[in-house]
Amino acid sequence: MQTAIIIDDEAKGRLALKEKLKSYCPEIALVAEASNGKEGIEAIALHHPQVVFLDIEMPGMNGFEMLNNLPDKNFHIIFTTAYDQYAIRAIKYAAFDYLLKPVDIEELRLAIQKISLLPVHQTKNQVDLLTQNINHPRKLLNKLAIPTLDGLFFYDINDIIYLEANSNYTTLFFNNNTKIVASKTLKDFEELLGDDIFFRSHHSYIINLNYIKRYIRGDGGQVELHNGTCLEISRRKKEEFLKIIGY
Amino acid sequence: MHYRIIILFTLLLIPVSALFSQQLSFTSYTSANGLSQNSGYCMAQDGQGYLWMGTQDGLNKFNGKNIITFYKENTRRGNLTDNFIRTLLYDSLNNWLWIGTSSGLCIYNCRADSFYNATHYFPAADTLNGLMIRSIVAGRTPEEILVLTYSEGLFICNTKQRLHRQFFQQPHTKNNTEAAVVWNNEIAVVANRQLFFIKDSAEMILADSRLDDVRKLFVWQQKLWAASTKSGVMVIDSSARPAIRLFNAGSSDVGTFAVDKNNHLWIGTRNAGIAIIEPGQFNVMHSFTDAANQNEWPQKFTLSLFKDRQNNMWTGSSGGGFAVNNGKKNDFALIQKKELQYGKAAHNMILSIYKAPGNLLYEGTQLEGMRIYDLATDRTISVINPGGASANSVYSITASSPASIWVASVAGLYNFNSTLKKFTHYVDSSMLTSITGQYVYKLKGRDSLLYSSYHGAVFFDLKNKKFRVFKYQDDRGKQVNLVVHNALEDAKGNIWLGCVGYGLVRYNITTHAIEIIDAVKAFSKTVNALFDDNGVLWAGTTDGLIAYDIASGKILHTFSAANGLPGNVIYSIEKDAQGNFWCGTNVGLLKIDPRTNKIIQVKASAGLQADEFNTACSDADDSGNLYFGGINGVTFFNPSAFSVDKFSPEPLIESFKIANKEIDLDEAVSYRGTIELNHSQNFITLQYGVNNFLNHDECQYKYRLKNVDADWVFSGNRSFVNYSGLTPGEYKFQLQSSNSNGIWSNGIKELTIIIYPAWWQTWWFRLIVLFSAIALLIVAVANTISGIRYKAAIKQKMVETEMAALKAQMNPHFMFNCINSIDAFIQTNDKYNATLYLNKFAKLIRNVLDSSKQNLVNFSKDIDTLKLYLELELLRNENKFSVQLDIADEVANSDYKVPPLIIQPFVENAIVHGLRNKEGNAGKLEIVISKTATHIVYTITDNGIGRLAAQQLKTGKDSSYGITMSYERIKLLNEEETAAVIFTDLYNDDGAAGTHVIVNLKIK
Repeated sequence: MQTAIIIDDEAKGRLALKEKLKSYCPEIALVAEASNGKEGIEAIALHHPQVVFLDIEMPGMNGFEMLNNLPDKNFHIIFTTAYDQYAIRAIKYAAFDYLLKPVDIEELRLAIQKISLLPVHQTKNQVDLLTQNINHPRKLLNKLAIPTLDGLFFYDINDIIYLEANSNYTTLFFNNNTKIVASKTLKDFEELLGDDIFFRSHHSYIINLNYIKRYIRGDGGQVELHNGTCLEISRRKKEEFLKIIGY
Repeated sequence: MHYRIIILFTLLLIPVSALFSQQLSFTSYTSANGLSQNSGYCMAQDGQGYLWMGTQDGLNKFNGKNIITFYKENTRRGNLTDNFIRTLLYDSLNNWLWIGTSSGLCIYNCRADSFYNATHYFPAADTLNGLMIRSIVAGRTPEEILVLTYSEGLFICNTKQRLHRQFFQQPHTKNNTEAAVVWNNEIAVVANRQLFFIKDSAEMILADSRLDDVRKLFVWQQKLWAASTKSGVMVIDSSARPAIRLFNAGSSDVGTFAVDKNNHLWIGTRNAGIAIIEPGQFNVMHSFTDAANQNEWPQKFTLSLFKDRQNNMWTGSSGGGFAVNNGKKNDFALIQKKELQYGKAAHNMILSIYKAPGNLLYEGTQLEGMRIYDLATDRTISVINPGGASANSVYSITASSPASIWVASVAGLYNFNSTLKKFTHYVDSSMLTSITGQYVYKLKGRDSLLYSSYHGAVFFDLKNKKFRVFKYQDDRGKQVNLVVHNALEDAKGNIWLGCVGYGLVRYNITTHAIEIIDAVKAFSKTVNALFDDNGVLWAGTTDGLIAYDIASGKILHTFSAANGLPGNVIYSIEKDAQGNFWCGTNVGLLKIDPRTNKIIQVKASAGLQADEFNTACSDADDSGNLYFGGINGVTFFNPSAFSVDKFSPEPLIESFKIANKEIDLDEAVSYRGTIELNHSQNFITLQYGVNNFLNHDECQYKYRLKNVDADWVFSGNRSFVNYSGLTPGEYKFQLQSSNSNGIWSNGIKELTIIIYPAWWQTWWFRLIVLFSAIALLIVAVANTISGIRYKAAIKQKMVETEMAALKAQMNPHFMFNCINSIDAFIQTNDKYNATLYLNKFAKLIRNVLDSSKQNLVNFSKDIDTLKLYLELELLRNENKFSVQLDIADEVANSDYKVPPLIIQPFVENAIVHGLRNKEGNAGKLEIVISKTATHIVYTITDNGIGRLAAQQLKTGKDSSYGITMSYERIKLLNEEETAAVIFTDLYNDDGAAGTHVIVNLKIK
């Protein structure tokens, strides 16, 4: 049994989620509702919920601002939002869970299952990372929380040299000659990282374009990265790759 | 106009037959021909070949046709000091003509076309001024000129140093320096009747050399010949043994000498004409004092003798002007009847000739029957009239045997028995074709004649003396009326007929088939004469000469006026032993070499009967002599003795006129290579000529102005050409001339004419105009393109703005929240509201999707959409505010079109920022829609928290994207620089009291 509160400015929104929790998530005990950030802070302080369903778009204080105003963040957060691509990406970078309104019952259940497995102590770090990304002056998402079997690790994406697929896991290689194995597929990372500085050069690789040292011609060719690693470029990616690097 | 004198020489070194006796003839030029005066004092020929002739009154420049006279009053440039021209010398080194007058020495600079007083070139020689000049003689070197005066001795002028020295200044020699000449590279001078030599500036008298009043010194055969006024000719053999002996030239008063091309010395006397001496013999070969010809040479008083560059000998006489001898009339013999007969004038129209073996020549005349001429005795031995007036025009003569001569006359066919001197007339009155005879031909190996009349051809059987009808069908069965001018049989026995109207026709005597040779007919329909040259038929036509190869049926040659034949009408053809064809034409005789295509024309001036010959009127004999009959007798000659005049100098341009005004050049136009004109000087006249003194009238010209004349223009003897309307550019005028034998000059005279364009015609101006035009075009095109681009950009922007606007209107946040609200009804089992709002939402989505396809929608539909939107917002916000929508009737009922959902962002803005953030449920939204004359006016008023407060509440993201889009759309719709949107912040006593927005939309 986990305690939860819903923070949403729209009554209908709160109502819909409340009814779904009540009907399909018996392990959640809804202890309070709040219609804005101010009420939310008060409710958290009062009830110490284990889970907070937090709407991002609210008049006055939005969801992120509210989090920053909380002294302690020892609860799981599930963001709810009707539509906000940018915010959702930022949430993903911070490895938070989120639900899109109207809420899908299966997604709701899954999110609740997942949070029960994660430690609460990382929430503050995740919120910090989220805040940093949100407040980036040029809206660039640089900071990434990477879930591993050993927990979340926080990295700057500019430090990633390349990523290598490893069945359902992905190995990330960094510019300080370290690597980690993330519990996400390469496809997940491809979506997350976008194509600004990263390029899916191969079925098994995503490379950071900023670390390319040289291109070696061949069938698809190879690319040598700054750490000396040579990676194959798949044949069907060759043309696109050459175009991107301005060959 | 030419006064001709025939001189027959009796003393000829080379024996010639009586038929081709050598003759000398003179053509004289007197005041009747434009000469300024008839005292032919002196002559010279300049570098371009002009002959200069000095008289007592004026200096004449002659080109063989025209004489231009210079007087001291009328020289174009500079001055002639006196009109009495005593002596002339051409100085080829300087291209000067030295002119000694009765009053001073002049120099004519040929290139500069200007006369100068000698002091112009010899400033120190002012003593020459006004002196009477005795003679001017070439010195020892090309730059040395000797000038003898009557009163100041001898001047030796050096043209290189422009210096002179005077000799014979002693009182007894000064006035008596009589003659000078360079002999053995020394200057021999007769002064005061003594012979002097000038050696190293000293005057040396030769011992025993007293001479008698010498007029002229001359060197011939290394001897010094002196012309004396009292003793005739005195000869000094050598300066080492200066013995003087007299030479009897038939006169004691001798004035001048010259040597002809045969190195014969011509001696001009003052009272006995000319004596000619053969070299080596030193006896007079011919003298005009001979009783036999003295009367034929009226000009006894010879003043001057001169040989020109084409070896013509000129004489100048007192009173007779100048005369030129050319020995060109010796090649052709002439048969003419000269005597009067029965009081009638001599009639020499020869229509036909037949050269019988032996010495007899049969001539068929017009109106006077047939003559028989004995070539051996040079006499017409009989004139025979076949009978009747009509029979006396004999068109054709041939023979079937030596004694049997056949004659085609107007009265029909006659046989003449030359032994019995008897005519027999053959006529078949039933056959029209048997009379009006044109032509008769004896078929080889057959006892038959081919006889043609004006009406067509028939055969005449010699055995039974009967006419036989000719087959008249051609191979296409067409009736053909063949009038035959000439016929011959080829090696295969075909008869070839030269016909009128059908050209060349082949007649097969066995099959009787007629074939008209189309290739020849295409060239000419009238064939006058035929010649079979080993299987090649040469046909003389009225359109030129054509060679047809019998074996191949191909045309091998054509000669016509188009390719340089002097005339198109060929009457007769003969071939000489050298392989040349000789044709009688209407422009004289033509000699055509078929191997080189070279054509030589011989005109009447060479001694022909006339320029006009007659059809098929020619024959040849076994000795190679050719006979051609024409309108004035028969010309006969041996082609091997015929010599062609090869002298054909390059022509000259004599005058260049612009709009009939002589161009002003600083030199003679004949020396110019280039003439530059401005754009308005484009009407030009060129006069040209050739300095040929042999039959100048028969010299011809051809010219072309390249890029104007397509080809050479043969101008005959016309010696000028006009060009008008020449456009600016560079032109090359080319000129070539021929001599009287049709030999074209080796050189082609060329003159480049440059017409400069006016400034507006220049390339740079045109370039500027072109560039300007291009620049303007580019600007215009660029403007158009940018206009098009601008419109396209606007359109694109409209589209993009619409799309973006629709995206903005379909604010996903709003949409999903709406759905979430409906979800809430579902979760709470509020079926009615769930369905109600789901339907409203569905309608809204439908309207938005519909309008997304259109730029403009009906106003009422747009308001419906707005209403749906408002209802859904009210649902979401749980009636936190109230809405009042007030639409003027004239707008509501109109059919105005508006951009879809243009004010929705302002409404949304009012709700989301103004009203939702407002405490309590007293929010009010008032939307008023009215119109002005031109605009729909939307007024959106809320009593929310105001823009300032809303701004502060705004979270990170820019929520006014929809408003921005609406601004753009309004701007585009209204075509205004700024969107017609007015925001007003409302205030009351407690501060901000909402926002008031006015949107003006242009009515469409």
